[in-house]
Amino acid sequence: MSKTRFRVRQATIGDKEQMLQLYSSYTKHFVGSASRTLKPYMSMLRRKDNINYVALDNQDQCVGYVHASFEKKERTGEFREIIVDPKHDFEQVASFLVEKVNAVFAEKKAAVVIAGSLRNPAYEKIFPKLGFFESESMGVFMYAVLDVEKLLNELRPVFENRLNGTKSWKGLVAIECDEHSLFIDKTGKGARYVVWTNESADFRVKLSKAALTRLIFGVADPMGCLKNGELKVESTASRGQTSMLLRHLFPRSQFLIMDFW
Amino acid sequence: MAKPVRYKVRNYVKGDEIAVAKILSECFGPVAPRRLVEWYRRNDVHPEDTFVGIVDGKLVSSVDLVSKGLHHGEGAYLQTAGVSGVCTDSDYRCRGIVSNLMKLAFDKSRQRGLSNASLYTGLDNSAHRIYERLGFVDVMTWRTYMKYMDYPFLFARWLRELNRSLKDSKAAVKRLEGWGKSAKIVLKDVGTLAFRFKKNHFQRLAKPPKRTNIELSTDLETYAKIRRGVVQWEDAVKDGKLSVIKGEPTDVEMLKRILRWKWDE
Repeated sequence: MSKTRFRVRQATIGDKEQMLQLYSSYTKHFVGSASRTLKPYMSMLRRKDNINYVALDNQDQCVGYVHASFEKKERTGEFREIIVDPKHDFEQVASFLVEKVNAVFAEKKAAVVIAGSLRNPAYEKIFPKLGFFESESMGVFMYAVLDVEKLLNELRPVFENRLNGTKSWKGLVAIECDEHSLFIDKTGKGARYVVWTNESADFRVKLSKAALTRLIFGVADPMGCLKNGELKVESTASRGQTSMLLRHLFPRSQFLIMDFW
Repeated sequence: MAKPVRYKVRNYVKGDEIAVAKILSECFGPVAPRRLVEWYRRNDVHPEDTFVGIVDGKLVSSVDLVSKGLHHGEGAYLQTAGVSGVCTDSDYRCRGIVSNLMKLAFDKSRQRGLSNASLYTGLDNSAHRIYERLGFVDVMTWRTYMKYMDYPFLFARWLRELNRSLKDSKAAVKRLEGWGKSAKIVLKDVGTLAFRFKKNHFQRLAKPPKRTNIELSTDLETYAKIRRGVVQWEDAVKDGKLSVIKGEPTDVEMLKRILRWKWDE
C-alpha cells in the first residue's frame, strides 16, 4: 500500500468514468455487488441534494470517492458509498473523504448521520472511531435459485477457474444439485467443462439449493456444510484432498452489496 | 389462511401508481405516487415487470421485478430477478395473492432466461416466511452506523411520521382506537421526551405531564435499537439497559407496538 498525499475536491460530471472504473475494480474483490453502467453515476452527480467528493493523488488521478446525500427537510445525512482504489490504503483515503462530508453535514445542521452497509469491512475501521454506534440490522438479503441447471451452467467458468487453482490434483469433478450435474474435467492442461459423461466422477459434490446459495456467496464454510450434512461428497480423494478441493470450489468470500432494490 | 378470494393478475398500467403507492404506504410508510413512478424510471422497471392483483376491480397487491447483474465471484456477473415493492392491502392478506404474484413473476423471469432471484426484507417481517416458502435463502444481514446530533428534532419528526402512517394503516387505527395515553421517555445524555396519543393523533409534549401513563428510562443507543427491532424490549429490560418506571402492562405493550410500528399479529 502506498502512502501518498491526497487532495479532496467536489466530484463533477466529468469524473463519472473514473468513478465507475474505481467501483468496478473495488467490487471485484467481493461477491454480491451489482454491475453498473454510467447511468447511475450521471444521476448521482446531477442530483442537488447529493454530496460527492473525489480523492485525487499527486498526479490528479482519482483514487477514491464518497457519495453521500442530505435530506434537508429531515435533516438526515447518509453515507451511501465509499469506494477506494484497491491499490491504496482504504482507511487512509476514506478517512479524508468521510471527514470532508462530515464537515458538510455539520454545516447543514444534520440531526442524524447514517452509514449503512452490507458489512463493508472497511466501515468497521472508520465509523466507530468517529463516534458512530454500530447496529446490526434486521434487514436481510435473500436469494432463490429459479433454474438450477442454468445457474450451474452460468457458474461453469467460476468453477473452472477455481479448479485451475488446485495445481496438483487431477480428475473428474461433478457438482450435483437437485438432480442436475455440472461436470468439469481437471487435467494437466487445466479444467475443462464436460457436457455429459457416464464415467464415475473422482470427486462428486451433492448439495441442496440452499447450501449452493450460501456456498456460492461464500457466507458458509464448505467443511461446516459437510459436517452438518448439507453437502455430501463421494470421492476417491483423501480427507486432506477433499478439504482442499472443497475450499477451492467454495472459498469464503466477503459479501458486499451497495445497490438496493 | 383467510377465505380465498377470486382475483386477476395483470401488469401495470398508467394510473396504477396511485393504488400501489397507497398500499406501499400502508406496508412501509409514506410513499407518493410521483416518487414511485420516478423509482420505476430510475430502475428501468417496465410495465411488464410489475404484477398487480385485482379483486373486484380493486388493485390490492403488487410485485416489481428489477433486473440486476450480481457478482458471483471470479468476475462472473449473473443477471438476477430483483424482487421489490412486494405489498398487499391489509384487508386481503393471508389469501395467497402475493405468493401467486411472485410465482408468476418467477415464471416470467425463467422465460427471460434468468436463473435466480434476489430481494431485501426484514428478518422480523411476516413476509420473510412467505419468501422462505418460495425457496428464498437468507444470505446476509447488514450493519448500520448511526450518529445522532439532535435527537429531540428526530423525536418530533418520528411523531409526524407516525401521524402520516396512521392515515394509511387500518390495523394501527383499529388497535389505537380509544387509547388516549401519554408516555415519558428519559434518555440518558439526551433528556426527557414525551408524547401523548389523543383523538387519533400523536402529539409531542414539550413538558411531560405530571401524571404520565407510561414512564421509561434508557440510553439513546438501546432506544434506537429497540425502535429498529435489533434489540428486543424484554432483552433490554433483562440486561438492565431499559427500566419501565411506570405503566400498565397493556399500555406498555401498546408502546412497544408504537415504537416498532408493528400491528400484524
